[in-house]
Amino acid sequence: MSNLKLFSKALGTTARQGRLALRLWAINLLFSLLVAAPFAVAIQGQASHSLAADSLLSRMDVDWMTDLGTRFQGAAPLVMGLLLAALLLYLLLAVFLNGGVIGGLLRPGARPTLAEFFHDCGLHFWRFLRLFLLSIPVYLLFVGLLHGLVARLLRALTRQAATEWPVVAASVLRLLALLLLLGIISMFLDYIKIGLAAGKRRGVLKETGRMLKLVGRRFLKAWGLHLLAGLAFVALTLLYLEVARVLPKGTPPLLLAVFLWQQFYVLGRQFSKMLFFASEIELYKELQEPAQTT
Amino acid sequence: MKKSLIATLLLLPLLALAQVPEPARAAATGVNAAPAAASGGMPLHYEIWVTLDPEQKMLHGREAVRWTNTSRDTVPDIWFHLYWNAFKNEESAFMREARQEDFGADMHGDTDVKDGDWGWIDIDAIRLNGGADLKPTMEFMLPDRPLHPRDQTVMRVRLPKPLAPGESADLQIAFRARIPRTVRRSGYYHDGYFIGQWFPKPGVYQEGRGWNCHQYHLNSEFFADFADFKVHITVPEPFVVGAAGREIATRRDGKAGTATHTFAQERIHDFAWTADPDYVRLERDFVAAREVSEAEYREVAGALRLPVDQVRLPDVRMVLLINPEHRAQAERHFKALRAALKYYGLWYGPYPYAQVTMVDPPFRSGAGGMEYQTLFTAGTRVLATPQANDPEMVIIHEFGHGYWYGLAASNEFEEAWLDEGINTYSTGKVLAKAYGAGSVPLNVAGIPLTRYTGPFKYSDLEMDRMAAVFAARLDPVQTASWRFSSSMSYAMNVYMRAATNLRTLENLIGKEAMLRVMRTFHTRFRFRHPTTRDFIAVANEVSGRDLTWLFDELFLSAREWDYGVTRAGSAEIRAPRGVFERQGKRSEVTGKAAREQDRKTKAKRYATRVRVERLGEARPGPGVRLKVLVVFANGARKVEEWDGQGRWIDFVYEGPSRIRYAQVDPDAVFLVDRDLSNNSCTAEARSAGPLRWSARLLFWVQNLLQFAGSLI
Repeated sequence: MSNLKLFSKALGTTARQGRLALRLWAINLLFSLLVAAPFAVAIQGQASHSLAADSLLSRMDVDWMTDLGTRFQGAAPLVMGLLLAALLLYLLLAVFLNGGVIGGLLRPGARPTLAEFFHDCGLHFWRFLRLFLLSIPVYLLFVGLLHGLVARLLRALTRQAATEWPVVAASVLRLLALLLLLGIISMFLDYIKIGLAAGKRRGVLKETGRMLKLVGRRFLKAWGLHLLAGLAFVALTLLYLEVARVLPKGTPPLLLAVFLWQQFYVLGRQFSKMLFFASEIELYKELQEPAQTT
Repeated sequence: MKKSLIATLLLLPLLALAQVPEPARAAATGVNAAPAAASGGMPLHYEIWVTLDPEQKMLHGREAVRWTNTSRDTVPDIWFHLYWNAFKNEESAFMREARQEDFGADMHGDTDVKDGDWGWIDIDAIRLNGGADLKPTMEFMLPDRPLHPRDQTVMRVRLPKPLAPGESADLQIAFRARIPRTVRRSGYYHDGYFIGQWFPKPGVYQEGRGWNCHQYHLNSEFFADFADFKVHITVPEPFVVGAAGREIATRRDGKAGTATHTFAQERIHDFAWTADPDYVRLERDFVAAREVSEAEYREVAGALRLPVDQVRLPDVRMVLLINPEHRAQAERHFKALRAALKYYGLWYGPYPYAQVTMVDPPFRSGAGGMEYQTLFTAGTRVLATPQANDPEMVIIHEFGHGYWYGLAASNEFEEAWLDEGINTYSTGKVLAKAYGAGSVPLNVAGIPLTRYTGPFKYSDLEMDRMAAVFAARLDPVQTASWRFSSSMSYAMNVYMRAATNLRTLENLIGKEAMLRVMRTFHTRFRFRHPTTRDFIAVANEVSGRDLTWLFDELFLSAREWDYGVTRAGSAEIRAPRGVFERQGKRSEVTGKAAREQDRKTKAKRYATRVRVERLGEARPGPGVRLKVLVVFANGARKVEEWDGQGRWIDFVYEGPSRIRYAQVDPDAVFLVDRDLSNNSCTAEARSAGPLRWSARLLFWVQNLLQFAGSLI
């Protein structure tokens, strides 16, 4: 089946999973609220009884940012520590939720209930966690080391550049290389998760090897499909940005409109995430079929 | 100035005849007993012949310099800057300070420094014209502390006979200089050269104090005496050359494949030049009649209390040397320079030179954003954002140094705020007048994202204040450049904090008075060396107020300014309960009775208390009162005053209305205030604005977490 067909099938599957997307959005919102709450309290405490609050409605007030920065200058290490801890916790939460998402998408035609969703989350958590732990050195190796090498190579190539353009190009290439590496690794991790969930196999390493072989053989097709899902995400982001830049600001009702539009985008990102999984599941199924028939 | 240009033009044919002509002046002893007036009132005259050897990255130079003792002291020696020895090795003051700051790779514009890429300057010969060889008396000097014992950026020679007041010494110096590879302000990259601070340059002799000739430090810039320059620059023929002053002759030597460009300029104190075969040279004119309307002249003249004719501007030739890849931005450069010529000219005095050269320096030459007289370097990127005021800010700022440091030639080593601070203040004003607030220049991998960040605008004033409040505790603004606690403190204090302090001064004495202060200071010290004390004296004189306290608090100390309203609330005044004597009888007002009385009272009254605190250490001077505005819910307003000396003050009111808000310094005079948000306190919470930013923060957190989650 062509990538476009696989992608359109995945789009259909994703579109039917509104409830799942809403669940993911709600969990993300709740967790983010917990993370953002102390900062919001600090902002409210600093500004809500100040006339400076008036200007915050309509514009970026650099003076206010300065005041905020000076007031909480000493708290920077604590803030960084809290953010890192929150990030780690969220990663664990995402590992947990991935089981529910993939499990839900793998259930043929059905929309998983909340109980089924959490069942899937729990069912796959430990294997997904092992995969997550395994992915850390992989990221370090590829993003840290390989990307570092790419960056050094590009730097070496532009060391003698006579004009600025090659340096700009190198800087774009470096960013693209980073995105490419992140994209490829996350794509393989997705397929391994799908393989683990679909095959109910317990051995993460074994499944990793199997998926590397399976997807590696059809890498270009898999990567093309991944890019299609990526394009959908880019289109969504551009849509968000274009609307956000023309949305008027300055009054509380408009504030609410902007907030709703932001949350709509976050919800869209949940769909986008599911679209990645769904399209990968479609390809996974296709790759599995010949293997099963033999 | 015109006279000397005519004389120079008449000399052109003679100059053309001699390949490396000796200077015309020659006295048997090399010491000219003519009075100082013969030197045109200036202590220095230079004629320099320099040849660029691009193969060896060398400059071969010969310098004829006349130094005149314009002081009443008898001077036994002459001190010279040899700036490029800062790049000679890692033991120079410059490099040691850079190492302490962990500048490392940044020093060289993100390129490797290979062995052999160091820069240096050697004096091959130095003698009095036709007289004594001074080289045996040459020694390196270390005037600054902390000591960097192997620094070689200052040297002196002893004269065979001390120079009496009015006498001058004609020196002949032969020097060789290795051009460094992309070190600060000077250097080469491929075949692009920027040559600044490159020749042996006498320090400034200060009567009673001796030579003011500091070593080249990481954070310091320069200080020099005014001079007449004539410089002959020989380069390979294809090179396009730009330099201070005006090109008065070009002589091509087809055989050698070289061209000698002669530049001349009177009354400048520095001479920089640049050469690159790829430069695109463009010229435009600043035509004052086109740029400034009569109404503008009248407005400025009125504010300055001067006749209109005294504020009229001359036409100026604008030369731009720009890299071909930035060619599309040429008109953007000229537009910014026009704005700078117009407003600096109107506000501080007409630009006295006929030509100004603006250089978009060669790629990776490390020379961007630097001031030299009648020539300055800008700097842009191929993907410069149209909505951001960049490179305009750099152009305006570096041109502005032609006034602050160039004409009012303060000592950048010792009092950097006098040029950087005043010029940052001036830059902000020109930018605001000509361009308004700029967009945040956000880039991803060099690609501007202003389509989306465009609405986020900021003014220079706001950015200056941001740096100012963070820097206030670190060092006094008035600190010798190399004595700041860090490069960051140096930059934030002498540029941004000083500019914010000046804005505060402007708010305090009024815009027009400030304009007169700046104009008076500039015109009074044009072609002289003003100091901080001079600026304070002018500010006091012109404003008619003693502002010394402001300089003591904001420029000469590291104290933070922070006043805030820490309490603003009202409570209903209720009928009192308890035991009271009335007409000799004691009776009790019970709670119930009091409540009943309150219920019957139609005209409620409220007790309001406002507390204003001094949260910082800095405070206003004698006679200065901080304004405190109290606004009540019924619209009534009270304006109070406080001398701000104590730690706190309470204002208490009784009246028919609750308080709405209280605000200290409601006119935002003291922009140096560390926390402007606490300057006001409202009775009711105003949550919408903070909520908007809280929601935005929430959105960023959501996206960050989602991104992280999508990777696993």
